[in-house]
Amino acid sequence: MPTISKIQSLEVTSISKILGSNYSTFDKIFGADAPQAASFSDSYSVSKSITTGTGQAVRIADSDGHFNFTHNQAYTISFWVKAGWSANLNTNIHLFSSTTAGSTDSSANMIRLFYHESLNRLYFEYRSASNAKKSNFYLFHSNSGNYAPAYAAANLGSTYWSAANRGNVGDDDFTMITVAKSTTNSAGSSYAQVYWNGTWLGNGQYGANGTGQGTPAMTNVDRQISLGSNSWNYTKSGDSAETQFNDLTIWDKQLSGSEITELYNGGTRLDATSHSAASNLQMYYKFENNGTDSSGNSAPNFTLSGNSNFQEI
Amino acid sequence: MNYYIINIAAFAETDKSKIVYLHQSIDKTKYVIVTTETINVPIATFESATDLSEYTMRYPSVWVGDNTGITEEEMEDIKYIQGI
Repeated sequence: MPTISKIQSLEVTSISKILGSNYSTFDKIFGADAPQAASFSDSYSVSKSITTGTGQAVRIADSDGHFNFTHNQAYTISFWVKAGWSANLNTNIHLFSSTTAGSTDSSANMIRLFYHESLNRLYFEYRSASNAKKSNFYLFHSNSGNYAPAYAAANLGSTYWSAANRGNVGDDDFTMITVAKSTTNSAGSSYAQVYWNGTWLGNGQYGANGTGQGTPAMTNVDRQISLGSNSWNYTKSGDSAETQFNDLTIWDKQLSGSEITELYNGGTRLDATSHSAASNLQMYYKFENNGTDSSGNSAPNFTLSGNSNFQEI
Repeated sequence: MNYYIINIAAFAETDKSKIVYLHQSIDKTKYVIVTTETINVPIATFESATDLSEYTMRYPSVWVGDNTGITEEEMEDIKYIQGI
């Protein structure tokens, strides 16, 4: 950041906001001690092993009351991902997944965002049983109809998303993926919006009302949460090279488009505790060489096992 | 529902409107297909999604790049949509 050493011949009466900045070098403002800003560094990310199983996972084993959203609660899940998978993955990679803590049942209060490489589709889905689920998906290689907004937002062109083609990215080749869900029991675009960086992906395949089967009825039990694999048997982690994740934030409201734009911050990860909706921030993982929560809510730590590790960006 | 592995020629003859799930092998020569249609000359026929899934997991390098296989859940959730 540039340093301002002097503001000459100006009377600055107030500063309402310093976005994404470190203002620790301000000594005094009108003679008062400047507040001590929490330092925000962004030097590390999580690199998820391509080997599967609990022993290679990036996970929270038990959300301990901090993550238990149901079908009729609003929430937002956002994270940054740097694709490591290849164009030969030919299956899906789970980016974010949560299911009931301790369960190996894929339908146990499941919430997930996953990318199916061979079809170039990004899915958002939640379910309470194999016959009680809601979903929508976003296709990136067709510039027409419901697909056009996703085509433009990702800018992958006709080639599918992989390490060789990351499309529109923010700093350090990371993409911010976000789902913002309302209280309505639907994954349709009127109720659950999915974003690539700060850009809405549009209506998706199944439009305003989404698709599904039955009526999900999730319970507010604790969950296990994983990045880079599914959360029930810790598979679907990609191929070739490790995929990296950074700055996971979980909010107890459906963030608006402008709030997601604010979080994207032009592609530069910001301190989410300075976000205008910070009072709704429930869990916050910067992954700055540790898996601790920075939301102020003392949420459980992420643990990394096996070959998964923190990696300098 | 019918569960098959078929080759390119057989796929060309299938009724696409009856396909529920489709997955092409890594070498692009074969398809896992779940369909309501009866196919007369498949490479292999399976009794159930479970059997088909387990088969792909025995030969993962043929079907997927991550050494796993095709799960039953994928066959249910990743719907075939003609043209995309």
